[in-house]
Order: sequence, then C-alpha cells, then structure tokens
Amino acid sequence: MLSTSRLWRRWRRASAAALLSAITFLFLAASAQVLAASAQGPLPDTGWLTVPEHPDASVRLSVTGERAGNRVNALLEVSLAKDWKTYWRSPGEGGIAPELEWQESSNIQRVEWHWPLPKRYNLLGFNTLGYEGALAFPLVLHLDDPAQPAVFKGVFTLPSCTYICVLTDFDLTLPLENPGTMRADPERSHRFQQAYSQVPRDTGALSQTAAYWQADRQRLQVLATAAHAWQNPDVLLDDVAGALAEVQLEPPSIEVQGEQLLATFELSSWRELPDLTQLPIQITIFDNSLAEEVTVTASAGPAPVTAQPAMGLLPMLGFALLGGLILNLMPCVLPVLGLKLHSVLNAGTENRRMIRGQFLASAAGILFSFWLLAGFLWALKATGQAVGWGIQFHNTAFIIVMVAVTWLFALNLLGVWTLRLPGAMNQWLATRGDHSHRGHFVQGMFATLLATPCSAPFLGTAVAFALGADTLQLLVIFTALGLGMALPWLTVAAMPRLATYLPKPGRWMSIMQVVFGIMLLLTSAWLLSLLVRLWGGSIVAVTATLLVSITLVLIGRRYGAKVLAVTLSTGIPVITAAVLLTTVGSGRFSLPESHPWQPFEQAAITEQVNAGHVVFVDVTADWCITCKANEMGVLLQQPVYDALHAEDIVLQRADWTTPSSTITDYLQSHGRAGVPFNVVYGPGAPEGVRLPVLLREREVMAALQRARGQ
Amino acid sequence: MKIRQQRWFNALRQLLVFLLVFVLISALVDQWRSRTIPHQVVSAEPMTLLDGTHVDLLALSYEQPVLVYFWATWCGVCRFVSPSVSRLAGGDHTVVSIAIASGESERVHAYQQAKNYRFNTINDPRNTLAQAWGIRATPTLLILKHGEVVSSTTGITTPVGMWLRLQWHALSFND
Repeated sequence: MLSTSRLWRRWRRASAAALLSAITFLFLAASAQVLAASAQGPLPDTGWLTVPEHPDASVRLSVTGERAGNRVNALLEVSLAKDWKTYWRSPGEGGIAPELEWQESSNIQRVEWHWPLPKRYNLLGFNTLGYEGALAFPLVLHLDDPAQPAVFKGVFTLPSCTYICVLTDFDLTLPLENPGTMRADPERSHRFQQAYSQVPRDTGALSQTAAYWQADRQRLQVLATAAHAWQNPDVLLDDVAGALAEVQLEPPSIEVQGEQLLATFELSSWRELPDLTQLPIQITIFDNSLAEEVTVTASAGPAPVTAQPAMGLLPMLGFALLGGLILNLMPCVLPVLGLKLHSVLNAGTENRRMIRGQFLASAAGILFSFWLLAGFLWALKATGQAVGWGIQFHNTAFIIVMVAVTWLFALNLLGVWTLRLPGAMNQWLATRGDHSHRGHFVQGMFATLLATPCSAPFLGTAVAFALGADTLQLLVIFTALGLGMALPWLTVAAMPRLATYLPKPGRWMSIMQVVFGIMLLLTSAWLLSLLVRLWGGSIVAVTATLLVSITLVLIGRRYGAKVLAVTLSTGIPVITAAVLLTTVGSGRFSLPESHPWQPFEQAAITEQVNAGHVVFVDVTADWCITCKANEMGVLLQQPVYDALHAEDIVLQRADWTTPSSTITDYLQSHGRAGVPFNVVYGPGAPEGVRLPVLLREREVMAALQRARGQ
Repeated sequence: MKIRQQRWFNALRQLLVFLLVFVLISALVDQWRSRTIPHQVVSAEPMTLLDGTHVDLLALSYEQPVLVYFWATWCGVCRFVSPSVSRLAGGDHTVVSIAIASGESERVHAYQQAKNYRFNTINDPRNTLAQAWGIRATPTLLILKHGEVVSSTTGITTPVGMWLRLQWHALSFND
C-alpha cells in the first residue's frame, strides 16, 4: 500500500517535470517563430501594377500569410476604371478569359485559380459573363517544398473591353523567401475569405442536380432541387475541357416549381456542337443566398419533368389583352392616339359627354376591325389557305393604299397639307355636328389598320393560338386583342376627366406632332419597301423620289428654306446611316442564279433517301413574301447556296401559288397551315428535319448535316 | 428674291459648319487614340496568311494603300466592323487583317468561314505582332502607304468613313 503511494508520488513529480519542459519547449519554439516572422518583414506583395499604355486597369498579387501544409493562399486583385469590364473563365462567344502563365515560377507545383461569381452583361447585343470595378481572384499556390523559398513568376493577361478591347500583360514576380514561417495578416486574410466566399462551389445545398441533352433540338436542360424554394435563380454552363468555348449560350429560360428548378439552354455554335453526354459539364447555379457549382455528365433525352399543360384559354386571353394594349405603343399607332388627344384638347375639355362619345366610337371602330380581321382569317382558314398575322400585305393594292394613307396622314401631321373636303360634304358634316361619331369610328378602324404591320410582344403568341383554335376561341381571342388595343380609349371614355389632366396645348404639342409625323413617314417608307419585291427596285425608287420631293417642296413652301435645310442636313446622314446599317451583313447585293429545282414528288423522296441522297423540299408560293425573303436572304446566299449545290443534294419545290390538294395534304401531314415550309430528308433523317418558318443560315446548314447523318 | 437667296446661302453655310465640326472632332479622337502607334512600321519577321502564303505588307504598300485590320474573334465591336472590311476586301483594295489572340489558325479560318468574312488574315495567336506594331486595342484599322502608317482609327468605324479614307489615300497615292 505504502509502496504504491510512493510510486504515485514519484510519478507525479516526474510528470510535472515533463510537463514543465514541454511547456518551456513550446514557448521557446513559439518565440522563435515570432522572431522569425518579425525578421521576415512584410508579407510578399507586388503592390498595384499599371501598364502605361492602359492606365484604366491595375493588378496586384499578394499572399495572405495563411498556409496549410504546402498550400499558400494568395490574392490576385484587379481594379478597372468605370465602364471597363473583364471576363469570367467561360465568358461566352463575345469575350476572352483572363490568363495566368506561371511556368517560370520555382518551387511551385500548381496554382489553383478560383473564379468569383460573374455577372451577365449585354455588350452590343452579345451576352457575356464578367466583372467590372474591383474584383479579387483567390489563388492557392501549391508548393513543392514549403520549407524552401519559392518564387511566383509569371504573366497575367487581362482582357478589358468597353467599346474597344485591350489585352494587357502584367509581369508578376512575387518571391516567398520563407514560406514555412509566414504569419497570417488579418486584413489580407479577411479580403481572401471575402473573395473566396464569392466563389461558387459544391456545398451540398442542392439535393439533386442533373443535365439532359437533346442533340436533335440542340437543347440542354438542367434540373436542380434545393432545400428551399427558389427566388431569383440563374444558371451558368461551361466545361473544364473548354469544349463549350465556341458555343453561343443565351441566358437560359428558367422554370421554378417550389424547390425544383428547370433551366433550358438553347445551344448554337458556328462550329459543330460537341456530344454533351460525353462531357463533364460544370453547372453554376446561384440565387439570392446560394452559389453552387457542381460537375455532372448529361444523359440523353429531355428532362424527366411533367410537361407544363398547354397554355389554356385564360392565360391566352391575358396575352391577347396585353398584346393589344402594347400595340398602342407601336410607332404606327401612337400617332393616331396622339392625334385624338390633340383634337380633344383643341375642342376644349369641358364637354365630357362629347369626349366620352368620341372615344367610345373609336374603341368600337377598333373592336369592329378586329372582328373583321377574325372573320377574314376564319374564311381563309376554312378554305384551306395560308393564314397569319398581316396576311393582307400579300395584296399589292392594299399596300399601295396604305402607303398613300400613311403618307398623306404624315403630311397632315407635319402641317404641310390639310384635308379639304368638298363644300357639300363639309356642310353635311357640320349639320351632323357632334352627333355623328362616324368619323371617330373610322379613326379607330384606321388605327387598327395601321397596327397590323406591327407585331407587338405577346401578339404573335395569341394570334398563333387563335389560328389553331376553333372558331369560337378565335373570335374570343380577337375580341380580347381588340379590347386590349381599345383599352386606353375606353379608359378616357370612362373617365373623360383624364383628358383635362393633359398639359395645356402649347409648343410641346407641335413638337409631338412632328415626331408623330416622322414616325408615320417611316411607316410609309417601310410599306413602300415591301413593293420592291413585287415591282422591282427601279419603279419603287422613282415613286420614293417623287414622294420625297413632294414632301420636301411642301415643307419648303410651308416653313421656308431654313427648315428645309435643317431637314436635309439631319435627314440625309440619318437615312444614309440607316441604309448602311440594313446592308451591313446582308452580303452581296447581286444574287446568283436560282437553284435548279425539280417539281415536288412525294414518292421520289423515299427513293432518293434510300439511294443515299439528301432531299431539300421547299414549299412556296408567289404571293408569299416571307418565302421570297427566305429565298433571297438565305437560300441564295453563301454558304447555303453552295451547300445546296452539293452533288448528293436533290432540290424539290412545291408551288402552292394556286391551290393544290397534294401540297395541302403534305402541309397538313406536317401540322402546318401555310407557307413557307421547308423540310430536309436524308439517310440521317428519313422522317425529315422541319425548318422554322423564317429560315436562318445556321439552321439550314445544321439540318443538311443532320440529314446526311453527320 | 434676294432675301430668298440669302436664306439659302445661310442654310448652306450652317450645313458646312456642321460637317466641318464633325470631321474635326472625329479626326481629333482618332489622333488621340493613335498616339501609341508609330508611323514607321518596321516588321522584320516574315508573315504568312492563314492559307500559308507569304505576305509582305510593306512591299504591298508601295503598290497600293493597304488597309490593315486588327481584330479578334472575342471582340464584340469587331462584329460590327468586320462585315464592312470584308466588303472592302472584295473590291479593288488591298486588305489584310491580323487576328489577335483568337486561337489556332484552323480555328480562325473556321470562324471566318462561318461568318463569311472574306479578308485575308495573318494569325497572331500570342498577340506579339500587334504589340510590335503598337496596337493596344481592337478593332483598329490602319492604312499603310509607301511603308508608313498614314491613317489609323480604333473602335466603330462606318463603312463610308473606311471607304472614303482608303479612296483618299488611293487617289493621293502617287503624289
């Protein structure tokens, strides 16, 4: 018993000594480290570097002093002046990623480069992903031997763009004399952590992420499930190998149902698209309080989600109302509404009953015109003819009348011409006085007529739905369209007091009148340009010159030479610029000879495909302007022109100028009600690849390739 | 009648002033942008087009003004300028483009095919040629005449401006 207690005491004494010596050792070691650290001086830092040729960008590389094993944290900071942007690692077709060359470094095995979440920018119509202002890339340097000195030496190539693009090379040299004994700088650590928190990574916040690739539709879908409901999510797509670098990615369309998110990307490229099922894809998903990045491999086919029920009549009615309402803002209609308010102001705003009556009459005119249109379309559909919005523009007489009406109306607005009715008619109108609403009814119809060449957002969707629906639904949709368009007029009719809130008539009204006049002149010019295809350029040019001369003479007579000179000096550069803009990118002016088309013969298609040929079918009609536009804009342009002349291609044309039951049946078998319609058959697609109504070069080329089985 | 003439004259004068101011401002902007571009271009290294043929820009510039176009596949603004350059290249003018940091020659070729750009191109994947020429930004257009840079402009250029410049230097080529 005694011996045990002695032993115990001895052991305690020994252990106390050991503990003491251990503490002493630790203390010594710590103070040595402190000494070493203080001897090391400030942490390595290049300071802010600028290149004299491009003072708007500066770059700084520094280490934070944090080290874990052989990993040293560093921060690559970039500061850009206002309006300059740089890009993400996969910037999209319109950008180039920054690059870092560090191969000349010593004792550095690998550099981990982390990319903070970028923003979407639309630069001149091109979607890019990038950054502006101040940004910091967290870098992790992996050293070969942390006990040895290391030198980071390299070149950082920073692209920056405004309306010009500049590539700037920054030489970066950062010696780490004693990486093993660095001490973290709290301020820099904080900045590193701050930057690192902006980097998306896989934190497990998404319980499911999967990608689905439909090669035939060039569509990639991403399905993700989070723990919380999505608020304002966005999805980015790229791959480590850079196979998607040439792919043009528009922002995806995103559907959210509670915790589930479905993002659909339409892919297009000027090169062949890679097989996305063979490629690890990086998916970056972010929301208000989430930024995840996961790597997945896509499976073939569409995403396994229950298809959204086809849009019902009710949302369609909403679309129609909205589409009709927006029509009022279109340049062709705005002047009519403006003129109406103008007349109210001139007549005085006291007589509310009169105002109400006038606006109701106009609204009725609008509604009536939409019913007329519905009836017209219904009749065409019933007789199996091509139907669509703006079908009346296939009629030359209609276009001529519209050119004349818009031009005269514009002259009227510009104050250089006034409609003088014959005396008798004037008297007749005077006797009717305010009791006649006929004029206002006609104004409403005129507004609708002017609206038809304009297609407002939502309008196309609603009209397409109406054309596919039964007669009652067609009528309902067109009523909604008419009500939508008449809404501003009805509002004034319901509350004539609104008219009194308008500013008092004055100078602003004459300015507005000129603006409306110019809008209408432009509409008139556009209508006239439609005739080029029917009449040929020279007749239209002569007509245009005549109309322009008359307009100028009238302006000169009414307002004098000075106004005329101002009109000319501003008008000529604007028109020149407009003409140049429309010709840029349209290729050559002279068109090559037409293709050697063979008549349409459905039985021959299968034969040709079995023989290994590609059959291009073009269903067209002389009165179809869109068909002509497709032919001149795509089929007769390079590279489609040459591609259609390839040896293995058979060209078939089905002419639907006059009704033909074979062609109508053929169209119906493809679920179409009109022309233009193009299909490509081939060994790779014996059932045929249907092309969209408006052809695009890229899609035609892709369809030819698919039909070949490539 | 006299008053009327006077009015016409005044209007004409205003028009001329407008034009003059426009020309002056654009000339000044170009001048400022081109301050880093040396007039004398010394390029000893041999240059080859995408198809492998050798090209000597300096020698060409003694025959006709040469339009040199610096661009990149990743430069958004270049997409607005390239079609005009392509059209000029289809005419009687000598046009050579230099593609900066746009990847391998095969890629640049495919890009030009896809976009239907018909100008001859020297590929500059490492951005070395452009740096040697003092070109800092894309798109940049230079006109070489008798071995010297006689005109340069960076950013969006109108097709008319481009054509006029080239035409001007072609007309005054033998002066």
